[in-house]
Amino acid sequence: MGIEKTKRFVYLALFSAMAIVLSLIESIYIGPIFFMVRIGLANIVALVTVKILGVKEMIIVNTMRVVISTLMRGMIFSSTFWISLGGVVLSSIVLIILEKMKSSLMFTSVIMSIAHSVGQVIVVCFFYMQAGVAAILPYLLLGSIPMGFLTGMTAQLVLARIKPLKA
Amino acid sequence: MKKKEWLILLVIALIAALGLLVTRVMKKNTAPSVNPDGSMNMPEEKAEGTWIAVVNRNRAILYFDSGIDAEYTVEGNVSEMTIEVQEGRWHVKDVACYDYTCKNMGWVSEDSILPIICLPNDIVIVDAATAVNMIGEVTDGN
Repeated sequence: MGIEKTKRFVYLALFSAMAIVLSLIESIYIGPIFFMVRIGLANIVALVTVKILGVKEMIIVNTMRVVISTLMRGMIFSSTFWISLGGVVLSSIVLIILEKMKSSLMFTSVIMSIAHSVGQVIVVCFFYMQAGVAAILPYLLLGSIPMGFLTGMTAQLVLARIKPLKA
Repeated sequence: MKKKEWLILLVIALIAALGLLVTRVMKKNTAPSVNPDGSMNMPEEKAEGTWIAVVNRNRAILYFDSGIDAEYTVEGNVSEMTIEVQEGRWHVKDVACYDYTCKNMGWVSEDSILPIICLPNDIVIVDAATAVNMIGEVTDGN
């Protein structure tokens, strides 16, 4: 029991570290692939975490990723932080719902990617208090679908190599 | 992936494509000559290219003619921003914010889908008509 708990804790720490590093790499070195659409590399870790460890752990990993990666970039509590948080909160909610509904990994990934974009746009709308910003939503939605497939495929490859620790 | 899931994705893609179309049509229907209503204090003379508005916190802080090659510097919320105009296109040449997304967006023109947006500085660089229609009541900052 003790060993199992330690193992879970180590996995949680590793997944958090991976999510933070991927988030930093993406924001600093990769940036948007086209228009404002990013790959969402850290979403791979969220998907893997929910399958390997469970929902509670995925929430911890996602929270750590937003807080620590923005802290390391000197953007904590800036507009970037709140936008990032908006995306992560909505995508996490969607991930939890789809996990409960037992949807396929690829579908979960795509919907999660879409939810991430929608969450970010909602926060931007609140920031500017202008609903017009939502005009970029169609571009983001269309861009999110291939990105979701990409992250979903990567998560599938990862999951084929790690044994779940879920109770 | 299940058949039902493919269907949901298809519906989302169709909705997005429809949204894209609506945005395009709305943009076409808002020619600059139709809109500026005086509240924006947009320059009255005809531009060689198009009048482009630099909007900061719902205020047009600068108008420039996209047909005239020049460099402009504006003050945003956190830093100064230098905008370069060349051959009908414009880009953020220099900015001292912590994000650089606006600078990384590169050159844009009238035909570009997305305007240049700098969140830290709260600056949107967009053609004057779109400024009115998308951002709402834009007032002159001077």
